[in-house]
Amino acid sequence: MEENLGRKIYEASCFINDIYKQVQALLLACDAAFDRAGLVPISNEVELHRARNIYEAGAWSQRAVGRIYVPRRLDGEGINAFVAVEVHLRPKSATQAVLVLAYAEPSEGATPPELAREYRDGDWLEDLLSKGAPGQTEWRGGRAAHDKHLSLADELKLKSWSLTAFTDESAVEQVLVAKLREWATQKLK
Amino acid sequence: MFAAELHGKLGDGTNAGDRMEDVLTSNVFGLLRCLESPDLLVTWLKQSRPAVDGASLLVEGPVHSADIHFWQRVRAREVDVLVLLRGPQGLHLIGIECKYESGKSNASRDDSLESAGSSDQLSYYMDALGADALPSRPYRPEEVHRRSLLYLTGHAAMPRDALEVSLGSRRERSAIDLHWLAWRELAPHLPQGSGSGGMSCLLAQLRQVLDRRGLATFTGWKDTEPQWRRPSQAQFFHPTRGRPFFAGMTAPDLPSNTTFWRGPSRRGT
Repeated sequence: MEENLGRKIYEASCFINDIYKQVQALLLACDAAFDRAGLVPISNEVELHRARNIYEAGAWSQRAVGRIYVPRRLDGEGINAFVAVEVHLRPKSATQAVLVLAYAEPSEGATPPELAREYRDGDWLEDLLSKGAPGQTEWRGGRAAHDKHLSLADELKLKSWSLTAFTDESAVEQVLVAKLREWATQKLK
Repeated sequence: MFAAELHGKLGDGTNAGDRMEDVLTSNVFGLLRCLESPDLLVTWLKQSRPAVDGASLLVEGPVHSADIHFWQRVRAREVDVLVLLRGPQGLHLIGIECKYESGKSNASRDDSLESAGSSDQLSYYMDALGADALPSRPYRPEEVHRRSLLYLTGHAAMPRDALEVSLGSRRERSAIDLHWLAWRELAPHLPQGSGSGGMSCLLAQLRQVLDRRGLATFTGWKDTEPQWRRPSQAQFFHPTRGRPFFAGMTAPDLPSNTTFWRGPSRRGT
């Protein structure tokens, strides 16, 4: 038996624990930033959350996490836009861990539970970036181009950043909210 | 000061959640009380948000001093922290209800506390503080120009539902504001590393406590790697004849060139 095997396993678990703590902090930063921007999460199914037991065997093999948000104040006629955030530790579209931000205009009458259910069961949105040119960080397309991902979205816009691009919590807020404002403005035009 | 907490000596068992909450409250506000200047406390309090959109901020204008009192009796219950902010306008009384992992401690229907006030914990404190119903007040009611209740929690996003229920559960109509603040908003204002001794060292340790509790903010992504590596000179697959299978074998590098993060290609499965 390798004499240092126990220590190496311990160090590996510390490494994994550190990665998960960092992802958790990043997701909470997104939650806080979106809350200040008036967006609330509608899905919990795929979140890496404080309550999640990272010592479960299943948690060790998780490579990505995602969540959907909608505007806090609904106008009674359904939602007119929603946002998704995914963190991929081993993305198909890049060689380093990335955060993917998505903005979509849902099909008429789509409800938050329907969106949450479809997002949970569909393919990762990051896959759409991997189908383009190598290193592609932005994507947009109509429903036919992403029917296996979110068929309830009429139009979908994506952008990804390397996780190292976010130096602190304010950088997360500035970058993500600025991009959402840009997309929302484009919608108004 | 924080050694027992940083070394995981607080343990679990009966009422572990309450104890963790009280120890956190004591650690954070106990240290803030030792500071000569109220600046750090005020800076943190300024990150709070009113429960009602458009309402006044918790801290407006200069603050000359801040007194911190623990577990003051308020009618039949105890509020975790009472902060007395003194400024040019007089005294701003702030009650703080601290939560770590639990929600509000509302009284049950048959609880004797209910007969003395709202069963909602925050509503109860708002009514009681608004009426200066503290058996041993550390202030004079006539010097108070404003009263507030602060809900301090481990959330990243404002727990709006809980706050709205509290606002709607009040039995008295005395003037008092309700605000929310996150523990994690304190961490960015504390020094990183080990500190340079004295109070700086204690503040740095407090940051470590918050980090250990999952109450720190995101401070940038660090591409960490485990400390161990496969020996570069050695072949990974050695002949195993005549020697134990695991001899000389080490775990593969993580995570850059492996498929360590194997997982389902679809979400939620």
